[in-house]
Amino acid sequence: MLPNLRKYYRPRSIEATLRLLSANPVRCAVLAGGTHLLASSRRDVEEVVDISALKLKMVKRKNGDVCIGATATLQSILENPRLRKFADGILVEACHRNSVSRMIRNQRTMGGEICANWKRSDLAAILLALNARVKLMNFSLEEKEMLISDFWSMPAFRTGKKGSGLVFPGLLLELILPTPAPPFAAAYVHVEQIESQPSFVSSAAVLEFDENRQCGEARVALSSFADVPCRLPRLESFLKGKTLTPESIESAGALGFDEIRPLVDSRASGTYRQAVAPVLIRRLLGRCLKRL
Amino acid sequence: MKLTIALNGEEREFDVPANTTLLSLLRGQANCFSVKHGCETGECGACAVIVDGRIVNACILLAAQADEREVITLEGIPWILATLNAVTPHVERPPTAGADPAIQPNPSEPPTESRSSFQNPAAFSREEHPSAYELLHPVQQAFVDTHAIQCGYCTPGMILSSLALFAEKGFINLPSIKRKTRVRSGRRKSGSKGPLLSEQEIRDALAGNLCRCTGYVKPVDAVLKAAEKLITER
Repeated sequence: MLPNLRKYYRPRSIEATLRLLSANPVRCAVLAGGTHLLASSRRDVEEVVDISALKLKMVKRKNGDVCIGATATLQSILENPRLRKFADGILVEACHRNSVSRMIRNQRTMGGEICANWKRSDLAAILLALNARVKLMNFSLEEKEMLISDFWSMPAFRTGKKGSGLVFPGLLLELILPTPAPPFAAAYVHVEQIESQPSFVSSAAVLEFDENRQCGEARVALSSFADVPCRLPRLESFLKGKTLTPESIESAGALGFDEIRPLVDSRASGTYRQAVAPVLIRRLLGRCLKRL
Repeated sequence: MKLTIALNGEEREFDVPANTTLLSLLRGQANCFSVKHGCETGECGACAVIVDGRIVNACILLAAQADEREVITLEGIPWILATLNAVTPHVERPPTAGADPAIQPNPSEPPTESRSSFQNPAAFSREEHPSAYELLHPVQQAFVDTHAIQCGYCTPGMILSSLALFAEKGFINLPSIKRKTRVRSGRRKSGSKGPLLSEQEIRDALAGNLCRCTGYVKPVDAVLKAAEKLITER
């Protein structure tokens, strides 16, 4: 329920959407699925622009990449047979994990997860590990593509708080997921109190190997561990050039995460997160080893 | 703002403030009291409705989002039964212009402009199909037979979640006034072999419907029983 909402728009073109958003960037919010916005009871929102008529629901393969439209629902991603085995199935697994409720998954969109729930979503770790890119259009109707890590580093995201209106000046159109180069192994692990609750911490890894089964490219990310989802550069450089063995996994888990300040919230303390993260990393890499 | 919603087989027009949720509209203006008011945050599933064939939470959906879309609540079950030819209409509708060659529109009269975005905006009413209101859908009957109802607050949501699952699996057709013909939404072919539905699939479909009487075993049994009945009747 948005108590002060006065105007609802459902434009049929991206240009009209951006015109509406630019006219009132502070009090106007983008409405995709509405699971975050309508449950938030934000008092600052006076206008919403529903982007469901923009034909951004597609899920397609393009030049080896997977392109997911901003308004594609999590359930549609889950049901898409082309994505079932993409990146060892971690994307589909995280979409299912996002909410146990099919009702929520039918409404919740990928764009909403990226723009409204990125700080705590398990999908954030997976998108970082997959080196995802986003396609945006700004108010001047210029299209731009950037890494999702750069997108989340934009000042509007870093400083944006709940109740601050539009998060960034433009519209997210598409998410682009590059297919990892084979041979690769991908895994996703999470820890939560009960299945229906959000994760305390979640982690995802995509490791690409060379013909000698030595790790070439390594991307490991944590979500809900720090204030924002983060990659683990120290761990990634440790894994590069190494063969994945139980011993190397044990050493990787022992590296620790002293450089990242853990999050303290109602779900878990910082001490708990510091203690559980190495365990998750060991499980994560162990799962990668099994899939290799 | 003015909205046109295909609600339970009938095209209805509403005038609501922009911040009205679909839940408020259904309970406040459409007299659909099967849609229960629960958490208002999409957690409990008591307000579950089917919008364009998909089960969603009405509490976190603006009424405006349902404009020009098809909404089914538990009150729509007589319509579902009637359109599946389980019952026949009691009263015959008078022939309309175009349907009968003897009745043609007067070419001198300008065509009346319709706001309708639906293919067949004919109303489904209790007067036309009184017998449909005396029957229970097999899913409802299974809930009664297996004693799957305690306080009953979550039951409408659970039944609609089951119907959406069955439609997705192709066990039933959800009727529509948006489309010319009913479209089978599921993938299951008639006469196909294999397990009907696994218990895990049912639990997954009902996972968003919280029952605070904590009776989950019986509803799952009921849905399994309904699935068996629907598939053997096909």
